[in-house]
Amino acid sequence: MPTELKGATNLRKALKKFSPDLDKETRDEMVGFLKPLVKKARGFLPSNAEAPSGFVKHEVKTAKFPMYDATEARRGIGYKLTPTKPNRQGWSSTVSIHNKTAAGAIVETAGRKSGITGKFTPRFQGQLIGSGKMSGRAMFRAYKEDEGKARVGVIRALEKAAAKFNGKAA
Amino acid sequence: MAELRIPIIVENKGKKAFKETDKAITGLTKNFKKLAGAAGIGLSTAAVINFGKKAAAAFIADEKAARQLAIAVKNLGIAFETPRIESFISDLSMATGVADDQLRPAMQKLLTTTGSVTKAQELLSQAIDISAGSGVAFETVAQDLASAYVGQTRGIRKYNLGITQAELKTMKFADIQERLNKQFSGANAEYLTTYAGKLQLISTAAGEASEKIGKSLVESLVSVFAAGDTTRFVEQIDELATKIANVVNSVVFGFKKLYILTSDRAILASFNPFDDYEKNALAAIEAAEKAAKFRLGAPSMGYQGSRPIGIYATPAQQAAAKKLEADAARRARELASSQAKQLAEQKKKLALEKASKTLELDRINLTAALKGKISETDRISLQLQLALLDKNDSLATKLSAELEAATKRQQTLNAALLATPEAPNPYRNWVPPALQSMYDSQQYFGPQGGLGAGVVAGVNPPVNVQVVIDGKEVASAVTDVQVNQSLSGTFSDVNRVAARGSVGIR
Repeated sequence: MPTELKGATNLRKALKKFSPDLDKETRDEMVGFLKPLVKKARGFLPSNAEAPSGFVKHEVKTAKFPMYDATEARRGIGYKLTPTKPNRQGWSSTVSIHNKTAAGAIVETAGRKSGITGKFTPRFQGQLIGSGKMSGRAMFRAYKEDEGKARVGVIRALEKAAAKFNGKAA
Repeated sequence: MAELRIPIIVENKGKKAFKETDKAITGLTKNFKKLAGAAGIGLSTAAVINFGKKAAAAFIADEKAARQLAIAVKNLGIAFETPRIESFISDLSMATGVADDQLRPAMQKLLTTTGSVTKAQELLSQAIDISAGSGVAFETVAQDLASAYVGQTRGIRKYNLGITQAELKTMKFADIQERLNKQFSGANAEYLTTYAGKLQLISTAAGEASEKIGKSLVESLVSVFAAGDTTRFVEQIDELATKIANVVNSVVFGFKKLYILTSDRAILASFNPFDDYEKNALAAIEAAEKAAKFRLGAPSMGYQGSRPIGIYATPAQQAAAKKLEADAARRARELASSQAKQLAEQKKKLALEKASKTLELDRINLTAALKGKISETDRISLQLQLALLDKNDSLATKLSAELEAATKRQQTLNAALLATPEAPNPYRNWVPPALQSMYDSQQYFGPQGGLGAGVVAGVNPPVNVQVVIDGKEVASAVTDVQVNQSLSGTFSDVNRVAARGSVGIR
């Protein structure tokens, strides 16, 4: 589950404006925790040879269903250190990891709702790790296996930055 | 499918204010319905509630912008200027038809950039004219002006001032401002005389009413109520809004009184002569109504009779404001000086670039290789190249000028040579002297090479030499030998020319 850190966005803004060095330091520290997570998640995505052959990118005239390309899908997994647009409830993610591509999201979530049945889902080799909306084969699996180390690291980095910044301001 | 995201750090923002408003409005709806029910009035409250919701949302947005500006002003140390700035924005909005929610962020930008209220107001007014004249969005214009004030002139390009980018880079802000002023001054006033301008003016005053009020309605309203005077019509709308606000105030408090008077508690109290519940409750409502009316009509700054209303600056604050203006002026001077330095550097750079452009290194090398020596222009070019390598801009400039002069001289000389007529043969009238016979004079004879005295090669008459072999002339000796060989059968093909083994005697 995400952690609510009040004032994190404002802290990043203040750091960027008044203490760019500290901002960079904080950013680097956070990236240090997120990058291995992203790398691990990318590693869980199947290669083109491992993915169901009909799902792999090929020449078709009318493509409606997203097609899988391992390189593209791997590129779609990343991290974001700037706040997202608030949702209808007003929640905004200050630090997050994402799986952006449609094909990547299919690999990630296939079988969440209906289970490993039918002709498509069982052909994915990776395990669906996690529960409910936090389950998946790549990003969610990596996040689950990380056991919150990245989350704690990011929170500590922000707290450290806040302490340093406040100390400087005082 | 929406993209998958795992939020690690989250924050809730912005929703609370609206939620509270919604809660308040919902509460108001319930109360309103209850009151109407209690009074036996079957009112359709949907329209009123919708209007209330919209007005509340607009008020929240407006208040947020005003607060941001107030914080910016406070951080500059001139919090007491806030009412004056607000008043300026309000007046400017009414006069120009630009909504105050556009003016406030622009004012904030300019204020934080310039650090001077006066300068920010001046630029804000100018931005309106530029926006109207150029068609560029007002927010963009304000940002461009703020950037240009600190020397970033890239944004000014789009206004087509008829100056190059290089010139723009080297111009001072005051010059840019003057140029913009010259081009766009009075554009907004002119725009407001058009139908679109009038509509904007009215829509600013009446908010979203303009979307519903069509062209014919606007024109008829203006002509009927203000004899075609748009400004007067705007004032009337403002007065009308104040009156409506007062009426709404009275109605709301009236309902509240009615609610109190018809409550069970009040009915019970009416039977008890010692219970002052009604009296106290009504007094409290009246006091609240009075306070609300006062807040509604209270001027933010000005005079009520002889009593000053609003926040006025103390002498210390006035001194602080003066200091701030002085600081801003000093900063502007520093900026101008820094721009002048940059300008000088750029000029030097341009001079060096120009000088480097005049070099033709390949040609110099080729010419030097072909001629084995260098011409004047090549010499200067080489020297100039050295000066450029040494970063000696003064020498480079001097040599560049010399090179230009030398090139011109060369061109003049070339032209003069081309224009010169063909020279006549200087020996055309010369007659070669008649040579005397070689034998006439002894001066033509003398020892030359291996020849004896008196013998001149190719000139003397031929000399006969006789070769004798065994007492015979050489020809007779050869013939004899051939005849002998022929007769002996060893040499049968005598005198067969071009045959193998033959001997040709000629």
